[in-house]
This record gives sequence, structure tokens and C-alpha cells, in this order.
Amino acid sequence: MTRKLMTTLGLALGPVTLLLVDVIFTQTSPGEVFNGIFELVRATGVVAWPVGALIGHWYGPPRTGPLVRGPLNYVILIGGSLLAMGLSLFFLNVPVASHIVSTIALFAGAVIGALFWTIDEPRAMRADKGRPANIR
Amino acid sequence: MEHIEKWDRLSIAAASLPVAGALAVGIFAEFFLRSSGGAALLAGLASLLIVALIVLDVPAAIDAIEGNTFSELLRIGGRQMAVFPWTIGIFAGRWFHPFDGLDPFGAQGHVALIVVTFVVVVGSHLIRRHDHVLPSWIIVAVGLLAGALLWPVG
Repeated sequence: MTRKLMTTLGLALGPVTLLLVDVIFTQTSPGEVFNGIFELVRATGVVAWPVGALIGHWYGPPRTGPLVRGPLNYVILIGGSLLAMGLSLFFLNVPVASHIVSTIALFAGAVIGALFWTIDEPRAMRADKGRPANIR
Repeated sequence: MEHIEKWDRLSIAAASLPVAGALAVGIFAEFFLRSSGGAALLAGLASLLIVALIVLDVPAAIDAIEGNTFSELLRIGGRQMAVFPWTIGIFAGRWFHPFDGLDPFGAQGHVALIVVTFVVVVGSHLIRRHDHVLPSWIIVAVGLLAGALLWPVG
């Protein structure tokens, strides 16, 4: 799987997926089919946490490795995420939860993703601190 | 050389697919959402695409080529073009903004978002072109703020 092939596949599938997910997440008219999903998105961390973790994973500040080495890292990342997402379900029917729960989950997930789900960057990129990388 | 040109042509064709896909979603999504069957079709398609993206990433993660997973490409791409972290920040800010009913700019916010997007994408390119450091997480953070204020859901 060359980088060009993966880039092509990502460009072909990624944006359409994002738009479809947006259509599904944002249907708010009364009686719409996806209203339940909208509540889940806004009032719990079930969606916000993994999205935050992915943002931290992809765009977190450069690190040479996860905060904790070894299997404990995955225990914290996966176990902590499942626990946080599960506990956030208790907010599903709390009226004021949709004001803030998903925002908190997004930022908490981003911090966890940046610290415990680091990307092992190719050697050519490791010295780079935000400049365009010259990788072919 | 012939091989490279073939890939370039394929890349251009693939890059035009999101435009066609976006048009299709924009035109037909409302129609599909009127019935539970149509909504299920949309949800199924979205799930299928997400699964396809994950499945496609597996062979890239285990092969010998460095930097070819979607995560690595998004990270590298974020350093080359602000549009990737910016888009992700915008959508995350839109979906997970605080305070229900937040919409300080109304319809004008959508126009402002287009202008801000242009300024950020072009401005970050110019900043980086002159060898200044602009980490992707800053672009995501500004995108979150812009998505929450200019294009909030609900």
C-alpha cells in the first residue's frame, strides 16, 4: 500500500464519510429518524470522546512516544476511554447535559489521544516541528 | 514516468469524487431522511465507509512502508496543508460546541466561515512557506472555535 494509493483512497472516501456523518448527527427536526443519535452526540461522550482521541492522535504536539510505556499504555487508553464513554451514558436523559458534556468529553479525549496514542512518525519527520515535511 | 502520470491522473479523478459525493449528499440526503428506510440506507452507507477506512488502514499499518497509514498521512498532510486539521476542527466544533442553541452570528456566520476558512488556509500556507513554525494543533483549536461560533448544530 503506497502512500499515493492510501492518499487517493483517503481523498475518495474521507470527505464523503464526514459529510454523511454530519447529515446523520445534525438532524434535529422533531420526529426525525436520527433524533436519538443527536441526543447521544450532544449529551454524552460516546461520540465526542473517540473524536477527541482521534484529534489528539492525529494532531497532538509531537512526542517521541506515549506517556506510559508497555501494555499499561493500552490499558489506560482503551480501558479509560471505554469507562469514560460508558459513564457518560448516565447523562443521556439529564436535561442540561447537552450543554457541556460532549465538549468536556471532546477535550478530555483529545488530551488522552495526544498522550497515550502517539504516532510513531517516520524518521524523516521527527526533527520537524510543524513545517511542511519533504517526504515522497 | 508513465507510472507516475497514471497515478497522478487517478489521484485527480479520486480528488474529484468528494465533490461529486458532497453534491449527492447535499441533494439527496433530505429525500432519504424522510423515511426510516432511506435513513437506514444513509446510516448503512456511512457505517460501510467508516469500516472500509479502518479495514484499508490495517495492511498499511503492518507493511514495511513507513508513513502510509491514514493517521500518518493526516499528520503529515496537516503540516503541508491546513485544510485537513481545519476541516476536522470545524466539524468537531460544530458537533460538540457548549451551550445548546448557541448561534451568535446566524446565517451570516456561514458566510464568515467561508471567509475565515480562506484566510486560515492561505495564511497558514504563507506562514509556513516562510519557514515559520505553525503546529497543526493550533489550527485544530482555531477550527474548533470557528465551528462552534460560526456553524453550530442545533
